[in-house]
Amino acid sequence: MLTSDLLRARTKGAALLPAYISVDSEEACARAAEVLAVFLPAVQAGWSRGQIEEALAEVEGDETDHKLIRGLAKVLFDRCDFETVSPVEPAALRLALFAEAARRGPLALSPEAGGPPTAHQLLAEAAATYPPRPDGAPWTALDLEKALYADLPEAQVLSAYDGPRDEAALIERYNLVLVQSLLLRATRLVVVLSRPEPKRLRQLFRHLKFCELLFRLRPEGSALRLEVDGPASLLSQSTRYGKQLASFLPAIVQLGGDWTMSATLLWGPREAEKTLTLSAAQGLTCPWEDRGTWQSQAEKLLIERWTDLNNGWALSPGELVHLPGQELLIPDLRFEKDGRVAFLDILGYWRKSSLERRLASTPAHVLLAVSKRLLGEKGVPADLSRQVILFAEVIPSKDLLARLEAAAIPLTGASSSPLAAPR
Amino acid sequence: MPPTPQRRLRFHAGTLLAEGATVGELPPGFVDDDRVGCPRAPAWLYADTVRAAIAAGAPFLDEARTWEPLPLVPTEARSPRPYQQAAVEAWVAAGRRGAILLPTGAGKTFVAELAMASTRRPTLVLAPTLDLVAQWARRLETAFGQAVGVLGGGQHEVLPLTVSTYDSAFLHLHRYGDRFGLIVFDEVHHLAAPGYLRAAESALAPFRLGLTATWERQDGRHEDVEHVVGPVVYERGITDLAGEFLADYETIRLLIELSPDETEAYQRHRKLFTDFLVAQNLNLRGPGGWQQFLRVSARSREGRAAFSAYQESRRIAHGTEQKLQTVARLLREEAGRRAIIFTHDNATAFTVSRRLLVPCITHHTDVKDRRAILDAFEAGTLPTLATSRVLNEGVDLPAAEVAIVMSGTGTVREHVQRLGRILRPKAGKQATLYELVAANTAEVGTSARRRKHDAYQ
Repeated sequence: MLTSDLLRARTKGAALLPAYISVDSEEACARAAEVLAVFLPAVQAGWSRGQIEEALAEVEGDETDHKLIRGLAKVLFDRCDFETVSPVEPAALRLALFAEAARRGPLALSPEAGGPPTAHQLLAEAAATYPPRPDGAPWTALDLEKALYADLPEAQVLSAYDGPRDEAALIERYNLVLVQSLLLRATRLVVVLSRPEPKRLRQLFRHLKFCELLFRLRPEGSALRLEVDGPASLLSQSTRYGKQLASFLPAIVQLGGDWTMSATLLWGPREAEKTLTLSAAQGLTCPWEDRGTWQSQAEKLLIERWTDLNNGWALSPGELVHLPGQELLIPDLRFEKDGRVAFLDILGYWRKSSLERRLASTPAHVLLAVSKRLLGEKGVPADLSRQVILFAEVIPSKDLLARLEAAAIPLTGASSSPLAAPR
Repeated sequence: MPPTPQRRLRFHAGTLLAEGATVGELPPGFVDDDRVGCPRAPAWLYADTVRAAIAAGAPFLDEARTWEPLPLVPTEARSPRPYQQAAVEAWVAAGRRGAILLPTGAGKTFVAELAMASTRRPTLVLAPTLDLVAQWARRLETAFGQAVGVLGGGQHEVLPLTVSTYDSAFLHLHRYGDRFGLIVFDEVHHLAAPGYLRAAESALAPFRLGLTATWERQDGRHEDVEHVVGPVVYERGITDLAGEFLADYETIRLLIELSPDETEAYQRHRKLFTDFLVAQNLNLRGPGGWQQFLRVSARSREGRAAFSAYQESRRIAHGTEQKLQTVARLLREEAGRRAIIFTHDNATAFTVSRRLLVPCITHHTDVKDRRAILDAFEAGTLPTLATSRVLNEGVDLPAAEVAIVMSGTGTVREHVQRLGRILRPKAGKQATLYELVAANTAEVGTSARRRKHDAYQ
């Protein structure tokens, strides 16, 4: 994340406009290249943090876009690991040397005849007591002076790096981090999703729950409008959920399809209310692995075979099912036949207690397919009701068919929501 | 009328839900929450809410609070000093809410122990630094003979007696705000940061005790603190207690001449900086003047250069070789007495450490190293230590007799706190504070600003 002194954005009326950078800008590319020209050799050669900082100060000079340079560097620093590299353990060395200095001191700053020793003299004496180094060279006072604080952040050495390695990747990452850092000041978000895929939506709600956020959800034409804030948001306009809202951004960026987000932020020293808007069209990308549309083997097999069965039940991706309170359920698959509908949710991994909880809150027209693989150690769940279908590798379609017939409810009774059309 | 299950108080993520009630009958601060369908307020309105409901004859079923009375019996009989006794009595009389102001070294921790023993509720103590958290945890374990939980510095254990940093409370209190009846805010002036205030509001605790040596903040935000903790209920200053309850002390200000090279460099950088101020017609002393300088200086190469020059001039004044020479001389003159060297920046603290081989504590020092250094300092095996700003407040160093201030900010608070480090009483102790000021530099003014406190008059 960017610290507040590195944020780049301007205001226009009530809008807050992040100062995105583009691969089309020669200047931005040049800056990105300059910063990478510090980090890539540093990765190669294992520079210390202090060395990297010094090299960056050179790049920065008296330039007025130091905020951009520092910001690009921060994006890269956040992908670095640093570690202490020292032949002797610095903390132990310090305690030993300081104790010796205390016995002989207070020390003199420069050599005095008949006076107390200097730091340099003590370091040299201590170095003489060390066995020679592997290369045969004796230890010197300078070696020990270096080791004395080798564990300070600026002395630590770059040991691992998993960040961008070319200008385009750095620029992309910078833009995402910039928005995320601005969102730390957000008080609430409104996301409008048009025809989202059920699996994406499920991922979104999982993120919401994980971030301990609350939401209001309502249809807006053919789209879904999702307002997100925290429990105390309505008590005081505050940025206390900013961190959660910011960590929610990747889930939005990964949504795919068409979406817009508008965030309300408190900006500047007077905390004026501003709005930051973002949409799929901006093309922000998220560098993390996207597992949102992951499909289990069991689900793939079921879908492949279903059409051949020709049993009258039309299969489509699942949709939103409202449960009491703030609970939502988005099952994997939806089945429809003659104006009746039922759902199937596939659980590959589960615990007995969580399955029992799921059963208690899942309406009867949502069936649960449960993997047998995890049954052994846990035993059969107490209530293996008509809602549960056990499967090994393949979900038994005959069994499923029979349960669908029994569980399906009339279409009018099922909550419908503007989700992706069946494909 | 007994409470009905329909009227229920619940704690939710740092807030209070009043199910079955309407906003109109509740104390100010409640808002209708359409997401859950009942009124919601910050958790700290709990006490007011319960009292108002009882007074109106319509009590709530209380599912918010999860604590029970906690027997807190001191393991050793120790009689309080008269002012400690009086402070706690004043706090109890004020409804167990409010702040107690006592100088560093006057035994604020023991005052808190007395308050806790008198209140007998699960208690959360908030302190600004990990050192203080560790110190509180040890003290409370000894005082009440029971385990104490710690939040912060990688530890996460919540017990009926728990000590936390303000930072960890900010992150976690919305989860544990239903577990404590009393919250003790050590160095309560820290609470004024908006984030911390909101964290404090996310606890139900009806009883609140603030402790500090210095209540006023330059930004005037102590009023917000009063809103949450309560008003000042008891106050004594350094001059009230010195001699009898605090060590006697003297403060000595030494003007340090820069070397000719340093003087030349200082004046060159300083001129670049002040010329820029004049050219831009900026007045740093005016309201928001510094912020304006930062803004203006970021816009041009000249401004950036002026800013660097300003930093460089400060670095010269703070860390001049002449100051280091003076420190070395003072340490030899004061050999045998425990001394702390205070610097404004980490770099100078490390320079002192490297050149004189004395331990150095900054915010980078990990808890284990810190403990080893502080223990050796108390034991006398490491009689000198250097530090930047991390030891400004709180940590007990009863053996410390000499403070050498190499550099600092212009705030009165920092200076009073640094003086406080060496004032913890000990038989026959005479404490000395040396303040090293670079002559003919901006530091002279900084020094004058920070000495505006009666302890220095």
